[in-house]
Amino acid sequence: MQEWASASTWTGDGLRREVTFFPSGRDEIYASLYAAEPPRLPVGVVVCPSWGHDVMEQLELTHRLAHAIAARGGAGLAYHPPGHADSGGRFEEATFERLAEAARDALALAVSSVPEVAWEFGGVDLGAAVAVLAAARNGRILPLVEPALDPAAHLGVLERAARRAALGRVDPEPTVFGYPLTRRIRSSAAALDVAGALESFGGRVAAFRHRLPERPPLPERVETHVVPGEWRRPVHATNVEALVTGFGHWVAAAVAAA
Amino acid sequence: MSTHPVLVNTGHGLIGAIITEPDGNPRRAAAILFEGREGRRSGVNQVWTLTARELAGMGVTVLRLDYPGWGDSWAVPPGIPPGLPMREVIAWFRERVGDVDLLFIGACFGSRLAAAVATEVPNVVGLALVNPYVRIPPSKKFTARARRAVTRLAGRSPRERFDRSLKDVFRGAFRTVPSLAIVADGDGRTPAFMTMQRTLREEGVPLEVQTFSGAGNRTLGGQREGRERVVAWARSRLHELSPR
Repeated sequence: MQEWASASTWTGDGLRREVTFFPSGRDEIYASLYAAEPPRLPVGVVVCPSWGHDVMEQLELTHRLAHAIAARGGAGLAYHPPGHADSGGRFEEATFERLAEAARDALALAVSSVPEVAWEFGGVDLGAAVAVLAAARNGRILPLVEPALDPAAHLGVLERAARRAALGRVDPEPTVFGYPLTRRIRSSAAALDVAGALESFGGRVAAFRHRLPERPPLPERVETHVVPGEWRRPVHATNVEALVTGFGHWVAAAVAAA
Repeated sequence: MSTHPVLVNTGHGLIGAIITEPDGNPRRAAAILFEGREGRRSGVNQVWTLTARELAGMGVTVLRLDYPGWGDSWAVPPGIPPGLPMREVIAWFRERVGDVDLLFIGACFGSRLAAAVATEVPNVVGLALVNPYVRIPPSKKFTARARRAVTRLAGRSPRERFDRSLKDVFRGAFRTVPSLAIVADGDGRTPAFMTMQRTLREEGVPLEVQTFSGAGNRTLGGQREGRERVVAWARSRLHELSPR
């Protein structure tokens, strides 16, 4: 209806905002665009979100990362994966391949919305693995925030954390903070070769993560930037400001250097 | 049914919302779904997204809006009382849907706002609260958390006090608008709400309470119960108002 359609965009303070749905497979996916008006930095980043409960918890972070690029003169796009939040699709049908397909469709929307900039993938948490898969060999840069590049291991960590937090009040089927941990997503994670995909990526890869908790180092080809503070739940209790600033600064500098 | 994302420009920043619209005209009614702080307008595992679709199937236009400072509305500065931009969004929605009956649905912390605004807006014909959060936020100290964990493991609910400053708000809403509370007996928010409800009942304040077994929306069963009960309540309210 016209009365609603006219409220899906807003421009002011040198920023253009747009919220929309785009088609991906059989689903309608929710997206939120941030773009400098007019663009001054020739780059845009599609921020790939994580999976399950973490999509909700990291929602503001994905928006802030998209905004960080727009605030520097470029553009950013945040979206909800299939079966999550405001998007269509069934959560139980999610696989990492499907999440990567939706990311590529988000990129197509981004390109048509702001064709003046070159769009790249970025990602948060498990969304970093999605970004690596979606980018394949293409792209100049791949900025990742608190990347979980071993999805199978990460799902195991989430499951244990959820079981501890539930204190016995659990569903008959395995869930992670109210989201079903399906066999489908587990087997999809187990079959992934994120490390291989990362090796074949042709551009620069950067990761931004907190000093704590201590974790094993990332693969050598990832430029790792450590910021003060701790990555913890809920995410808003952590110092996301440092992640957002580092992310935006690196993307702008990397594009300028290229 | 169609779904429309919107950005409402309030005097306190942009508020993101989703409108779920039934097919065909005229609208039978409209509903506003208030999620809480730290919640999301879609609810855990899309519980409110799915609820909105079911309500739209009954002819109801549904507004689901972000809590200011969260989701698409993250840029609303902290310190702005959330009721200010939310009232502007409600007025904006009201202008567009016209003079139809309005159902308010508040979840968790959003129950406070739903109750506060229910008495201000004309034509609110029903208020449903799902696992309302009225307790004093529990201490995050290790000892307090450990004590609560031991209590739960022993099969009891930790003692919770309700925030007495909220009593007037809920009393006013329950006296003005036919109201229903849907609570899970194993949810940490329930003991404080039930204490408040008992004190209001002693004053003769009307409120229907439906309790279901299990935890709140962190379990699949809790999500299903919340959604099904809200939809059944809406159907029943609409039938009472205009049988068809």
